[in-house]
This record gives sequence, structure tokens and C-alpha cells, in this order.
Amino acid sequence: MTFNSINFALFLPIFLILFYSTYKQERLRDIILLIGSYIFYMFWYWQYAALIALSTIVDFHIGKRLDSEKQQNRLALLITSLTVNLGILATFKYYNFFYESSQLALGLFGIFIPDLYHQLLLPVGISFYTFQTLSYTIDIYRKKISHEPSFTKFAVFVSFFPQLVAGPIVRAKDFLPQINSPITINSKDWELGFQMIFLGLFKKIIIADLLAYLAVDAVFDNPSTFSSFDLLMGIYAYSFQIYCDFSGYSDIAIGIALLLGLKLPINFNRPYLAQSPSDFWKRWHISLSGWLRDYLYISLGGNKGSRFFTYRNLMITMLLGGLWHGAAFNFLLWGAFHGLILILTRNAIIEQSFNLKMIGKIIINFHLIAFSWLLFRVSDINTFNEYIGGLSELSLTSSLSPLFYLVLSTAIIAHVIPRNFIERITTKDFIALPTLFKSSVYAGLLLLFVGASIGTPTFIYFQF
Amino acid sequence: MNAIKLFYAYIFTIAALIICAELLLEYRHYNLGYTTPILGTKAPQEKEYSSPQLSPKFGPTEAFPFKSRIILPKKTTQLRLWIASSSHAVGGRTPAKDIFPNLICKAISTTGNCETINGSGPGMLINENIQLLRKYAKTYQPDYAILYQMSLEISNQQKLLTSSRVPPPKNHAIINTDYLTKWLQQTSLYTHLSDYIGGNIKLSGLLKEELPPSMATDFENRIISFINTCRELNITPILTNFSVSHDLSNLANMHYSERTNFVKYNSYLSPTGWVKTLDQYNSLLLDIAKKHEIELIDSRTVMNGKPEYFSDFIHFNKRGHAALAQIISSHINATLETEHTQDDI
Repeated sequence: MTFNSINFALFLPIFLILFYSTYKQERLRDIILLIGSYIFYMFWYWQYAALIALSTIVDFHIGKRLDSEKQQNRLALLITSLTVNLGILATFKYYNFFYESSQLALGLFGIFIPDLYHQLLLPVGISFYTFQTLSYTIDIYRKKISHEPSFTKFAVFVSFFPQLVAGPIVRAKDFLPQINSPITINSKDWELGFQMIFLGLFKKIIIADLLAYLAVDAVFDNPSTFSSFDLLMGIYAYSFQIYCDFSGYSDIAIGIALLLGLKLPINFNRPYLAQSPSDFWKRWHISLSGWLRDYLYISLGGNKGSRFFTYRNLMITMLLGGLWHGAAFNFLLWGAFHGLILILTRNAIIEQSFNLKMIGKIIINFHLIAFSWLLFRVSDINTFNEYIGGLSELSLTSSLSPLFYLVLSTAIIAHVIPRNFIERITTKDFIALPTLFKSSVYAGLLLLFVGASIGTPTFIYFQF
Repeated sequence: MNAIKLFYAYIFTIAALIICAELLLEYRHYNLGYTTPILGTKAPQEKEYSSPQLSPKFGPTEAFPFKSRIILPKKTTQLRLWIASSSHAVGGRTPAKDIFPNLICKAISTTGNCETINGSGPGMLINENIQLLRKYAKTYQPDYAILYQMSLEISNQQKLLTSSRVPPPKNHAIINTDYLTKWLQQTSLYTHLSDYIGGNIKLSGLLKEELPPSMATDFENRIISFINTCRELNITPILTNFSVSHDLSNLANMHYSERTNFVKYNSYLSPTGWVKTLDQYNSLLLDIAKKHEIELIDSRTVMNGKPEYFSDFIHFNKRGHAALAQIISSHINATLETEHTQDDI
């Protein structure tokens, strides 16, 4: 089920009632968390819960043995974990791509392969929970953590429903200690969690989905029918759509975890205020970029070698980061473009104080990132060419509605408002208001979300 | 207040506020005669049929699935008219005695010997009209089948065009809660919110001014299929052009609530595009009628672009039903007269 569905609006209160009546009894609490997480997942495609269970069983046992085996056996165990997890991921995520590519390639030689590839449906969230379980076994192998003795707690770590399908990717060292001790829920964190859920829903339903409906879908479906100005607006709109969609999901996940007395890492930190591509990656999908840095870039040698060696590692990391999103050429190009701009701007200096230079860097960097989203969003190379061709015509008319400009402006303004100001309002001023008033605001927002939900769009990152 | 108490305080207050809002709106809807999920319906349809003037003369019943006067299978040389339409000929909350299919025979010169079978139903498309005709034509033996269909076909074509963008998710969930979703979508609160907020958003979208040309061909094929079915069943097909409350000249005057209601059923075309498509399809009907040598009843000259005949964009009010019945019966009278003259000669 998705966070913006009626099912979830009913599931969450029921789950919370059960959780709050049991959370002081650790074992019962863990069982409720586990059952709730599996029910949440099985509302999408119940058969695929078996894949999560398989990953959990394999990595739990490998983790246990990794702590006690000799070095040589440990490597074999790690390889087993990598093979099983990456094997499942490759089968479900990349099988279609390789099947289709093989069909095309062999077709050139007159060899025909029947159409079977479409039969595999991508399990939602597979890339997220696979990376999460991999980090567990790699960390035990690197002796950064020891194995989790309780199967239930480990299963909760793998399947914890708020972040199961679209992150943030949580590390065992951050999550397991929290459920290995009694959970305390303080009212301030609870209020903040509740606010974050509504903030996430606002980002998703009011900003991301409306930008998609009012401009992005139409502009990217048929770029040749739009002016250069509208095409540019389409890129800006998609940049904010994908940000609000994805960070909205993360906000909801973090918010739900706070309601449960658990803390998840932040996943976004106003990424479009980054001054360089490397600064961007410290602000965008932080849990994935951190994962890629710790388990891929550093494993490849990181920057401990010649300049070329570092560049090679950066490029490989970003290419694989692109492929993590899916087996398609535009994701590969997107990764390559990010690798390239990271290499070219590697020594960029970040301005510490607010000045014109800083604004200039932010604007230039935003446009580089926005261009990368164009690569990410287009369906094929012809559409990309059509889009670039349209942009170069420099026509300035616009067929987009005033509502579109209102939504885009809201997204931009919300992105640049100083953090202190927002924090003061949310953590002090709003919390201090009477509960009845706050409930009325939340009820009003819920009704707004219901009214503004046109169709049932899912979160963009569910497909990854 | 601790966190758990806070949770219950929020949940109960938010739920109470939403339920109060729903009950207030439902009460209003209930008094207007709409079916509401909590308060039910003020005037159930059965009551309408059980009133002495109407019941048991009007269907639908289990044995006679039409919203028209109950008749027996044909035995004599009666004139029987089959109305193939959708909600336009059902009337919603309009009593059966006032909807156009049940008024036509009153004004036909063979009064007393004329009967109507209203083979229409809410949401029916031309293909479904054809299926119904095939199922019952042999039993009831209509002489003429009058087709009044267009807006639903256009809505359906738009659905086909937009559904490719967002494919409906397949349900593989462990529990199927579709019924709950449907129930919630029937609430007055949901209807209001989606009409006003969702409707305004949809109107701000990049709606199109025309349908792709293949859609006109598809519409034409459906009409031809209707004509061929009628001929196959020895029924004379008659087409009727389609009227709506607003045309291009007065579209700007359309009430805002009607515009937002419009996009509920039209996800692809703008109101202007929709009216233009209607004009195009009406011209197409004329061409088809000429080409296939069948009659075309003209409702547009009298009714099109005149809101006084409509309860909304496409559905007739009592006056509209009476006017259309008059137009159809005049046409049938003229046809019958011509046939008699030819017989005499």
C-alpha cells in the first residue's frame, strides 16, 4: 500500500493502537512491528513477501556464522550473501533488460527468442531492502558490528514498513540498537513525526503530483508541441516533482518511525541549494550516496591512488548508482553525466558565507542537476533529441496554467526558506497551539489531500 | 500530555471533525433526494413505482428490464419504438412518466397503438445498446430503433487515451479493500472535495482541443455497427443528433460548478474541445445517415446550446424531456405519413 492511499489511512491508526498497547513488552512489540510490516508489504503483491523473507533468513544465518568463522570461510560467506541478494535483485530488476537486449542482439543474426521477459514484475522496494541487508553482512565482515542474535529483531530491521519500499536505506548499526532497548516515545518527537507525515503528504500530493499533472507528463510525452519556455519549465517542474515525491516519501517514513519512537536518518537536505555536484550528493538521497561511498567507492580504493584512479572509481560508482535505478540506457547516461560533473568539479570550493558567488554557484549547479533529470526522465533518445531541439528554438510563449506557476513557485520558495525559520514555527510555535486547533488544521489538510488527489499516482521511487 | 494521549486526542478530534462535515453535507444531499452512504435515500425509487399513477405499469422489473411502461411480447400490429441511449433516457431522479421515451407515444398519431421500450441504462455505450437489442429484439419486435448516444462515447474514448498514461494497478493484495474505497468515494465529502478541488486542478491541466482522428473513425464504426444490427433484426434504425446545454457561443457563461463537474467525466478534452468534438461527431452522424440512407432526427436546432432544457451539461430536465419527445414524435409522425402515402400510391 502507498502512504497516499485510503488503505494506509486506515492501516496506520489501527497499527498504532496495537503498537501503543504493546510497545512496553519488547517481544510482543517486535512481533507487532514484524507482522505490521509484512501486512503493509503484502497489500501490494503478497507473493513477493517471500523474497524479503528469503533475504532475511539467508542474511540472518550468514551474519551469525560470519561472527564465528575463520577469515577464509568468512569471505565465502560474504560472497554467498552477495550472490543471493544480488542474484535476486538481478533476476527481478535486470532480467527484462538483458532479455530484451539479447533478443535485439540475437535478432540481428536471425535468432529468435520468444517474448517471456514481461512475465517478471519488479518487486517494490527490492533495491532498498537488498542494499540494507547487504550492508549488514558487509559490516559484520568488516567487523564494524556484530551479528543480531534475535531473528525477530533482524527481520524487523529488514522489513520495517515505513522505509521498506523507498528508503531511507537504514544501516544495522543505526537501527538495531534502537530496537534492542526499550522504546520511549516523547510527545515532542511524536508531534514532529505527525508534522513530518503531513509535510511529506503535502510534498507528494500538492507539489509533486500536481507538477506532474499540470506540466511534466504532457511536456515529456510530447515535447515538440511546446515552446522552449514551457520545455524549460518542464525540466524545472520535473526537478521539483522528483525531489518532492522522493523526499516526501522519506519525510513520511521518518515521521511514522518517530510515532513509533524510532529514528531514521535524514535522506534529503535541500539538495538544490548545493554549490557543486559533490555537495549535491551530500544532500540528495543521502542514505544511498552514503551506501555507495562506503560499500562501493571505498571498496574500489576511493581516492587513495592516482588522480586517474580516483576518477575511475568515481565514474564506476556513479554508473552503478545510475544502474541501481533500473536497467535502462537513460539511467546509465544519468550516472555517467553525474560521474563526469563530479570529476570536472572535484576541486570546487564551497562558499561558507552568503554572497553573490554562492548564489551563482547554486544556480549553475542547479541547472547541471536539472539537465541530468532530463536524461533521467526521457523515455528514449528520440524524445531527448526532440526536447533539446525544442529548447534551442528559444520560443517564449507559455501554455501552462497559473496554477502550475503557483505550485512551482511554492516548491521553490519552500526550498529556499531559511531552516531556522521553519524549525521555529514547527517545533515551537505550532506545537504550542491548542490540540483542537492543530487537529482542525490537520483535518483541513487531509481534506485538501483527498480533494487534490487526482488519480492514484504512486511514488516515483517505488519502481526502483 | 504524553505521546499516547496525544495520539488518541488527535485521532478522535480529526475523525470527529471529518464525520461531522460528512454528516452535514449528507444531510443536505439527502434532502435534495440523492443517495447517501450513511443517511440512505430520502425517496427510494421503489416508492416512485409503487405510487398509484405509475406502478405497476412502469419497469424496470425482473421480467421487464426497461424503464418504460410494461408491455407484453408483441401480438398485434402495434408500432413499437426502441430507445437506445444511456442516462439521458433514464432521467435519474425524474419520474418515469416524465422521461422522453415514455412521452413519445403520447404525441404519435397512432396513439393507443404505440409503445416504447426504453433499452437505455446509465453508463451504457453503443455496443451495450447493441447487445441489449440483440437479446430482446426478437421478444419485443420493435419497428424502429432510435439511437441517442454521444457524450458517453466521447468520455470513454478519453478514458482510453488517458489510461495508457497511468495503467490501473493490478490487485495482488492479500486483502481486497476495493469495496471500502468505493464506499468512501460515495461519501458527500469525497464527492464535494473531488468535484471542487480536483475539478479545478483538472481544468488547469493541459487539456486538449480535439481527439485524435482515429477516435472519429471508431465512433463511426460503432454507429455503423448499430445500423447493421438493426437491419439484421428487421428493425428500422433512426439516428438522433446530440444536444447539450452550451455551445461555443455561450460556453463562457457555463456555471463554474458545471465546469468542474465536466472534467469529472472528461479527462482529455477541454470544455471547448469537447463542444468542438460534439460538433464534429454530429456532422459525422449526418454523413453516415446520408450514406446509409437512414433517417436523422434533428434535436440540435431546437435544443442545442439552450440551458433551459438541461439539468446539467448533457442531461435533460422535465422541459428537455418533453421537448425531445415532441421532436422525435413529430419525426415519427412524418415518417409514418410518408409510409402511408407510399402505401396508398
